[in-house]
Amino acid sequence: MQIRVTLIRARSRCQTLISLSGFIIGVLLIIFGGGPILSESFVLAQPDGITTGIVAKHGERTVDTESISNDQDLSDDQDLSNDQVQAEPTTTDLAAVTAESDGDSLGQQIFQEHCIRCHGDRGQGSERHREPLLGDLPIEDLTRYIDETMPEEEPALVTGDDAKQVAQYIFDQFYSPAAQRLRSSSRVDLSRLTVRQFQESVADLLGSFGDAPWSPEERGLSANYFASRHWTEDRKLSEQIDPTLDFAVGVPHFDASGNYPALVEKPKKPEENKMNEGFSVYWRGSLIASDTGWYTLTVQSKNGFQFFLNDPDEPLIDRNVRSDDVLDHTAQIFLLGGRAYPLKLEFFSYPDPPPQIRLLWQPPYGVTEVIPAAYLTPHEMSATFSVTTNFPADDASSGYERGTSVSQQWDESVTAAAIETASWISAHLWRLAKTEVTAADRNEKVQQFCQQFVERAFASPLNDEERQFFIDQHLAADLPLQDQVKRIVILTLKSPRFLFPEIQSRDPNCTTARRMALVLWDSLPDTKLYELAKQGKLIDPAVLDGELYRMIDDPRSRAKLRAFFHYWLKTNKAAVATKDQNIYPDFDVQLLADLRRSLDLYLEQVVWNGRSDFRELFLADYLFVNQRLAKFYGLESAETGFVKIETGPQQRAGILTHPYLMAGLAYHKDSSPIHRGVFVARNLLGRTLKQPTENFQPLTEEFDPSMTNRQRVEHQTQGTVCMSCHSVINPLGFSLENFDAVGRFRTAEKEKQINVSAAYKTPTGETVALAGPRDVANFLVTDPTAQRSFIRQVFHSYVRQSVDAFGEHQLDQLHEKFVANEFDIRQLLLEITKVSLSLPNNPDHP
Amino acid sequence: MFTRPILRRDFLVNSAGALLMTPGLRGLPWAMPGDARQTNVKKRLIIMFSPNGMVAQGFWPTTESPEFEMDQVLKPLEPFREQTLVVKGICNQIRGDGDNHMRGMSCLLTGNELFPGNIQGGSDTPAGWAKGISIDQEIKNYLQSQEHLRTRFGTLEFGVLVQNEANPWTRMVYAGPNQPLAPISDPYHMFDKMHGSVKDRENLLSVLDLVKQDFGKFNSTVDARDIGLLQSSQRHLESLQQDLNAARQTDVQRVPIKLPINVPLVNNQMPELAKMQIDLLINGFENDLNRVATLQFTQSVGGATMNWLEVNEGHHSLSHEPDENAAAQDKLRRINTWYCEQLAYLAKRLQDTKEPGTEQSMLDNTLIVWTNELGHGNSHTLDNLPMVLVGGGFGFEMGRYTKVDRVSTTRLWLAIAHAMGHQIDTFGLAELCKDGPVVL
Repeated sequence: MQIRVTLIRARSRCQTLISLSGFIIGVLLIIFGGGPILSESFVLAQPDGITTGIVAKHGERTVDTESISNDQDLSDDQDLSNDQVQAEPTTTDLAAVTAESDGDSLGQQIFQEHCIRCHGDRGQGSERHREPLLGDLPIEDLTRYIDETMPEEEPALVTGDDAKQVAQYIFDQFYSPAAQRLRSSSRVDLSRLTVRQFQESVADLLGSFGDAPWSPEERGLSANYFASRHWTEDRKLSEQIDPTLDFAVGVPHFDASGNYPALVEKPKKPEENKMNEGFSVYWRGSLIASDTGWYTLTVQSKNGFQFFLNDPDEPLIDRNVRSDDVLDHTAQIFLLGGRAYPLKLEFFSYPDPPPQIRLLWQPPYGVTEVIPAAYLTPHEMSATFSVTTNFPADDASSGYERGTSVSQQWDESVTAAAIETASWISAHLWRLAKTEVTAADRNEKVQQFCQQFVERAFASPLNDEERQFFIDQHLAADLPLQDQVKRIVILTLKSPRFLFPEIQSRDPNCTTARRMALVLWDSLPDTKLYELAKQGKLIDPAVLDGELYRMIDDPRSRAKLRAFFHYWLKTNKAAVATKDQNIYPDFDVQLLADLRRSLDLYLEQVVWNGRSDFRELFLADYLFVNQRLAKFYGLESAETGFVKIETGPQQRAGILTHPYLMAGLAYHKDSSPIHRGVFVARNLLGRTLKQPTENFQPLTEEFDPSMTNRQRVEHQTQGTVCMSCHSVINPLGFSLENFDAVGRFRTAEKEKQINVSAAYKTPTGETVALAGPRDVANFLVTDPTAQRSFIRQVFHSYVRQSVDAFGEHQLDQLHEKFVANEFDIRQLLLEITKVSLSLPNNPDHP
Repeated sequence: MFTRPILRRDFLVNSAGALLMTPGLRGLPWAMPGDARQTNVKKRLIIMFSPNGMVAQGFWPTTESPEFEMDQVLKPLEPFREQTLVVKGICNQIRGDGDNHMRGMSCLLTGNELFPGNIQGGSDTPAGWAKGISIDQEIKNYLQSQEHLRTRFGTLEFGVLVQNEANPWTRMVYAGPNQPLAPISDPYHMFDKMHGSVKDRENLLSVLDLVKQDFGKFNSTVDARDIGLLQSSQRHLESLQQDLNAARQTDVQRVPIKLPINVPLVNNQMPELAKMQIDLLINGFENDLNRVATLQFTQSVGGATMNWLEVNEGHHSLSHEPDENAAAQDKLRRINTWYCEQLAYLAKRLQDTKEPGTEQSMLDNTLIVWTNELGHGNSHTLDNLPMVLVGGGFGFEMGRYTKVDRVSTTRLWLAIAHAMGHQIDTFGLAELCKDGPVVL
């Protein structure tokens, strides 16, 4: 009777108090412990929230209802937490788990007696307590927690050895990462293309009818200058490379005296050297898109010009007719990140008005600026096509984008994209099919095009029946050619063979090629890979490795890895950081755009220019800065462009301390040890931190002006229950207190020496003493858990399936290879791709 | 039942088809029943342009109304004599930058000067685009501002073999200062603009059964645990198909048009292209997509070679030949007669087309103005521009040849604007409108 009453009471309490991992925390007391996103959204919504919010007294909670109701942010934030976060078990953990506990152990009895009503018989949770019972606290912490707080309504019921027994049972059966792994029933799910995969595939499918993309080293645009309105060869003034087009005052070779003394050929008559013959320049090359999204291009000139981008025939901006004195001419275009798009600019002028021209852009996350040389190349790529249809975001609830569900919205977007693609193909049919409207063999050429289009889309040769189904019956219809082709395109892009890459049974070589391209590029095999597959050559390991290395070095692979890094490092939040302009007056959108470029240059340096060593991501003691960044961050740089500057090992430690991240993981005015600690714990160390159920206003400066930021956090999180998570978060965050809200290095706060010493406890119960950012970095590169967390996240972002579905020990094996390969990131991509190739292809297919 | 057929679907708004981009319901044809505004009298305006000046001999009648003779060039209009008004004495009096061809073209319908610019013709000062809106767009803006006169496009700009270059010689229609509008020379492109969404839906619908069939092939081969994913895809296909079928119910209420397929945009296809564009123009009126249209044959200085008339020289170079060159004059007459035949075909199509829901001829509610950028080819004069008005319903007394004394184009456009119900005091350069609308 006594027990029954207690349980009924417990029910009502449990309904309002959802515990963290059941045992970790009864009442969650993490201040913004939900992680960076939730908190940042708050910072953004209320930059002054710290001062306008309710000031908490010691240990008191206040609730920010706005943040709580903001479910979207919560779910957004879950993406990584649900996934990578399971700390990896050591070998001893596994041994412990595999040694089955007795069917009717004391621990099990206690669990059934006191715990099962709330936590379910397998720790799966119940109506009154939905959170499953899993986490990564060491066994002794779990024991202590049960001893002190469980069962919730009467903690004295389970203590001492009972607590120890039940903790061991829970730990072995379902709580620990190793137990979770054993219990998980991961399998490789049938998946549709993700949004990125769809966009990239369509771009490459159409791109395959031009020249293959490549990554040229040269930068700038090729330029031809003429002393005439038209490009008269004997009046050519110069052929050169212009790094940028930034000629607001004075264009090269235009001589204000009115003569062209530089003319190579001597003129027949002296007056021919005069300017009234006109002056013209054409620039040629390609524009390299940094990110995927809409770009605003601006040409500043009062002279005549035509600007072409990704279309050799139709100018994006046509100013051939100069009319009045408009200076800025802009247009928008959607581009895919990492690709180069052909560009030409044809310019002409007479002496009045004098020539002037600047070529600017505003990329996604960027500001309007002259297009830097780094994003221009004198090589002309083939024009391609980007779908501009809006897609709903992919499901990222498992921590990575994957295509394991099909919503009506997605289906509609695919339909719209198929129509958009069909229209584009119809408009460019003659160029794609390499024929002319009047050519005699026009129809054969179009038929060839259609056949290649369908075959490449499916990455598999067509049999007669398929050829009839997808192509011939449409070409035989009584319709204009354009409509016939449109129908073929729509049918192809709506086909499950295109949308569900694994649905189709293929020749094993073609399956291999399809998977390689999907994993490394999120796209379709290119012509070279596909031809090798058709010839059956991918069975040869040497050929396979050769292709893998080639593909890993391709711009599409670089773009994918870059996208992964930005996802992993949560830079979408940093990208919109704002800071108090009174305290940080020079921290503006321009600086933010520079910081993003600085991070990109750094990642590029580590992965593609150096040894590709994972450890260098955390150990590097340099930053890439331009003059603006150098000035802001107190460094010396004589260069206007970006250069690598040594900072010394104490000031910077790779991405961990990169000012873009530090500024993103901070408040409007102050640093935020909690944001930083949560980021390091979750994203870098792979720790499990559950969502908070309530939000807390951080204590503001007004609470006690004499306290440092760290002291306020320590004060507010000192409770035993808080500390079950904050014992993980705080030490990591405090170690980064050398960086203020904009990521500048500091040694003092409020004239007090910054205290960066802290002790971090690992899931296996060891304590690591930390004395600053460098120590965190050193720990990250030596900790196997951090390494495995990285591998797991790369795997998921690349293969878009759970690594556990590829075998119980797959992660262990990848980790072993990673260590053996000196932590080579490129090599890791190769190994991960190979794992994805190991699956049979649709074995049920006859 | 089909009040919002598939409109709720994103793809209609997102898709590349021009119609699909039309924001809001109003612009969509199926949202606008064909008989919605039968109660309103429809007035329509077509401006047809042919280039390089007129031949005096064989065009201008020698006797004035009402028994004016229709000589060689105007002969094709004989069946429409009662609905024809030939006006002599309208002059393009715009001066300033640019040569006569440029001003002839870009100032013709705008009645406004050109901006200084960088385009030079002959030895005249270089110039840019026109400084003002053209009369067709002015009238269209008025119509679109009136709830009961509004149509989906307001105006459509047809071209026949207009050179694919944007300059003051190729543009007569302006949405505003510095905003030339390119005519659409490709009938298929025009068709897409007018009916693209319908066509896209037809194409989509035509393959949906095949897509379903394709999906069906894998139902039995995928792992049972994955079947749900395929099933939801198939459900979405079903629902898309239903929506498309619903939309089709309203699509069929439209007056259809079938174009000959795969006609290339080349010189010797000009007669075929002209017919296609005129048929599309009529189809636009039948579906009430627009009340104003322009039809531009080539461009100023246009060099069409009418070898089907056994004229093997380009039009523009012929137009420079002196009046004494009888052979050239004869060819120019044949060329302009051909243009007049196009006008007559247009008038015939209008005459044969009934106002939707009535027994009235569409020609009765339409005014066609055929004009040119020059008065006379070899002199490049901007005086005495050929002005041939065909149609009815505008209050002009038709069936005549009349002369006015050097009247600015702007005053003619004013008169037409007033006839269309748009009561403006000036159009283009105000000083050229001092005497108000011309009285014909």
